[in-house]
Amino acid sequence: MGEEHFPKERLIEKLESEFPGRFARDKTTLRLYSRDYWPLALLKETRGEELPLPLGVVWPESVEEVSRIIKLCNDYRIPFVPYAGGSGVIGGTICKDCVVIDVKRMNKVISFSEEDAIVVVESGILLKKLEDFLNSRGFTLRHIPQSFPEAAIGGLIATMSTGQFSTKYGGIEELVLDLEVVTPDGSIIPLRKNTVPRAATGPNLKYLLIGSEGQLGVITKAVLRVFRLPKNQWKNSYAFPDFESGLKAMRELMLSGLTPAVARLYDRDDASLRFHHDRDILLLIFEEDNERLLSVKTEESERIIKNYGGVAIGPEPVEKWLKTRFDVISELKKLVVPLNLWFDTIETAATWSALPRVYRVFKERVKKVKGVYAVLAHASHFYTTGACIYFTLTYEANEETYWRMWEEAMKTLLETGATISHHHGIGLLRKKWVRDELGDTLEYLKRIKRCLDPNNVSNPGKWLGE
Amino acid sequence: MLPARQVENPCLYCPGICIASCPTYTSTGNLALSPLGYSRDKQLAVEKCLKCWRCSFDCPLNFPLPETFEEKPVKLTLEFKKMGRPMLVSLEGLDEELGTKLAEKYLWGLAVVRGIDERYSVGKPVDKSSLKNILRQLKPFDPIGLSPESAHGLGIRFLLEKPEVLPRITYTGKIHIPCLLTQKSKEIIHSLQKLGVTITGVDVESCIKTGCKDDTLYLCPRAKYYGGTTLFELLF
Repeated sequence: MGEEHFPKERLIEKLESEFPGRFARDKTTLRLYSRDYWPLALLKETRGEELPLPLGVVWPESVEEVSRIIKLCNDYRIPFVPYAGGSGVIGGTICKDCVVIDVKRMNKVISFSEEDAIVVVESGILLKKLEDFLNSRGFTLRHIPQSFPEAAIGGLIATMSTGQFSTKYGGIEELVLDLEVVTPDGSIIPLRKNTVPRAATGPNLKYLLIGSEGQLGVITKAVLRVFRLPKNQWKNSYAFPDFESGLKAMRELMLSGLTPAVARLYDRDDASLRFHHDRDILLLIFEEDNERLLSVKTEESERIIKNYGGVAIGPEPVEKWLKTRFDVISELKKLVVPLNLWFDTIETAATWSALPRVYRVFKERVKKVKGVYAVLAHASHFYTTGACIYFTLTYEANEETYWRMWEEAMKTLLETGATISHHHGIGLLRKKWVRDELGDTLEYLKRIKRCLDPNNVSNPGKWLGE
Repeated sequence: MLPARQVENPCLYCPGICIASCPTYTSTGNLALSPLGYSRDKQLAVEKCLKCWRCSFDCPLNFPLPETFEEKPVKLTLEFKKMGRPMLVSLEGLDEELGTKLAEKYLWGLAVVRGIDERYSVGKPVDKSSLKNILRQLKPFDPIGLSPESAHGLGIRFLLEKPEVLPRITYTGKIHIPCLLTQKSKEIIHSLQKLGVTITGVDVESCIKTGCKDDTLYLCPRAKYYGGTTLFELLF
């Protein structure tokens, strides 16, 4: 047990002495680590408001060091929060007086097997660096979220991320074969003794950690499936009479097994801003190693699209999207901040039968919220059962409008049978509405949290803890 | 009407689109030692940022963060040391001695610019009218920058972008692309190959200011201060 008095000071002394040069608590560092990319936290920061500061930031270099830090946190009953790229948008890393465990010095590619198409990495590796590594060997993770330039693997797993190519390659949960994790009491859950494509050896703990948002420990290693870089790619765009026709066409494509790598159906408001098109448009990218297979898929897809009123408008919108897809700053600089507006995105998913209503009702209701300026929408991750709709919102830059908008949005999604989050996660932002979606399941998850984290030190104050 | 607000420093709103290119960030993992930190703490930036400009090249807005750390612009001055064409442009305090030797050996002109190194050591902006004045004076003499700093800072060609003035170079091994010239990687590699260099590997990621490797040939005159072997040693 640690000291009873001044536990913070004692822990700081310990970390300073055991991690010289790798523990910081200067003002600049604390402020930078006081938030992720949650738009509300960023708004507050730009307005000069002080956010809750962590106690300090430590950069471990091995799983043993992560374990040591967590044991110290338990000894002194000081909470900790794992931190990777910091690109989350839900306030998941905001943790007052916590020790931030930044895993980015643990950034090695441990092994890569071309034959097995598997890569083993430390969790702090930046996604961009990993993708560069794989591309130079003719492979790809094909996990390309908008946060691609700044995200790190551990954070993508902890928030159950998905990417722009998910329709063909799946979300992060489908890429993770195995995880090494340090639990909230400092124990190490190792990788399996073998790496296999699938194993019926009981419930797999990895599923508990994917999407756990730092509340069940720290992810330190990941075994990931990778793909060969496709040899052939095909791009085109189509205008539809309305959003619903586009959805119907995509349903037919997905159920016919004509799965594109990328599919993005923009409603006319969104298409107008991004592509200067005044119609609902669908952007498609197909990619295959085999040219004949690619041509059969695209020909058949075009036939289906035509049946639903889609008219080809050429690949230019796809090319434009490919060029600008990570740029979140240009619009902010030119259109949002100068008009005293602010931004956010709300991503949801629903089944095919519910999607048209979700889309319609969300736009109607949220646009009516006082202070909301624009509600744009595109569907961008498709399944055989339904799709994700991604709403982009601009509104008057103040906290009252922000929460009014979110209240209406969450209420609408729950009422229309959609999820409150498709891939951004819960964090502080959606904490209030999780129970409305999960019901009693949340109690069981909380029991697991209490069992693994009896001292409630692993990113407390979020949705699994109190 | 809604009030208009200007975004003077876009880094304050950005998630870090450029961040994976920052050598101090990737080597430490510390956000404070990244463009996100440097844009918020100018003193830290003056001390720790390498002024390699990789962040600016990766920024969708090409925001010139590395020249925003000090407000007062540095005035540039020019001195012609030896007339001739092409005119080799060296920087006072960095490569003047090297420039003198090269201009002598290859019968080039030599001009020395003062002040610009502060852009890459402290992070100062350049006084635009003095830059314009210098470029006007240099233009008739076909100026070529001896260092990546002079090429980038003045917006003139780097020595290796004019390979026809250089002799054949016997070298086989890895080469390093200077941070300030990463956008010209292809042209530089092509020039080196044309000059007879057999390239076995290309390092486009590291910055000499974080240390040089023994098995790599560097194209920055500054590399010699960090223990690196430079191309210029092969020109004598």
